[in-house]
Amino acid sequence: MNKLKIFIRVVSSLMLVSFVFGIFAFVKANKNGELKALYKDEQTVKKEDNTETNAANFRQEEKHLIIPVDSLDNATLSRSTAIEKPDLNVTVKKKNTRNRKKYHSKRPEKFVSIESFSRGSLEMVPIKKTIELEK
Amino acid sequence: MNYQNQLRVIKKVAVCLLFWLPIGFFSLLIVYNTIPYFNFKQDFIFITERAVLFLKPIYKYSFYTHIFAGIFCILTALLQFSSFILKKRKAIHIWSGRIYVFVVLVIGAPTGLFMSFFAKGSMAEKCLFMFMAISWFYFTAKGLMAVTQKSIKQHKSWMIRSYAMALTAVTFRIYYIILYLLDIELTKNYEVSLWMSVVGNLLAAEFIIFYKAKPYYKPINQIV
Repeated sequence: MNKLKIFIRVVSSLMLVSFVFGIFAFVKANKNGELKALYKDEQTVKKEDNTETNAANFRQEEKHLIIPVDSLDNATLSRSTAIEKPDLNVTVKKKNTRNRKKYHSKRPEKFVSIESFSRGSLEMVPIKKTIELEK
Repeated sequence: MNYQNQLRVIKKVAVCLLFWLPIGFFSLLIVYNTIPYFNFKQDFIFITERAVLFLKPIYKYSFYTHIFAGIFCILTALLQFSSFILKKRKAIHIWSGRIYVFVVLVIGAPTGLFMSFFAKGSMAEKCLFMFMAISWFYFTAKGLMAVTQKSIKQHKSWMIRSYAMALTAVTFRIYYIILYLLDIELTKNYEVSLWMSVVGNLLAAEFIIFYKAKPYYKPINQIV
């Protein structure tokens, strides 16, 4: 009987220890924000997958969107003119049109670059971006 | 063989087929599915969705000891309720019972309690896992104390409750599969299956205890 009592006390204290350890570990993990990384439900995973795919697609489009300045017509290059590309939903906008002639004549090899492209958030999916001409 | 004996045999066979056969099958299935975890690879869904936790040695060791204990717990518990073993091979009952009690009290319940803090689901589900671990421990300890005091009826009752808690691992998966086939959203499915398995098993245990104890109750008209 005594042995049983000792055994019960030992295992009860073991339970108590695991409970205290659990609380500490939980608080620590919560503090470090590790709990947020757990158990992503299917929808979140799908959304993230889509974001990854969209980001990959966008990077692909980014490559396609590097357009030689020469290929842009006058309308494109006129002051504050924007081209809407419905298929890609991209706005091409000229930043500075003052030196257009100079730009055309001296630096025809320059390419349009995409500036505002932020990665990392789930809301980066909309593809509508502003492309500004390099000086 | 008279009519009453025939009826008793039919009842036994029916209980065996409808209760013990599915429980035995799913228990062995869960053991079979647990064994691959001991190659210590990280490509199981259970581990990948808890990848952050598995970086911590304490959680990792808790998990592996918990499932190791679970295998012994399920296998030994299956032998405990056989009336044949209890009558003809009592040594098997005693030794498998000792293994069960040791595994639950020393390994299964404490590691389960620790892991319950990181259980899937909301705070309610975490609390439910805690309740499971604590009640599993309590029922088993009470069962052990009852048998050492030679109180066999109490021992039976407490061990039925303990086994009901151990079986939540099995019944949870059964409910989960059924609800999955009914096309219920996975998170909801998880939560509902969990609650159903714990509450359902406890109710089933109480019903079985009541049913077994029925012959000992005196009818009210006899008392009066």
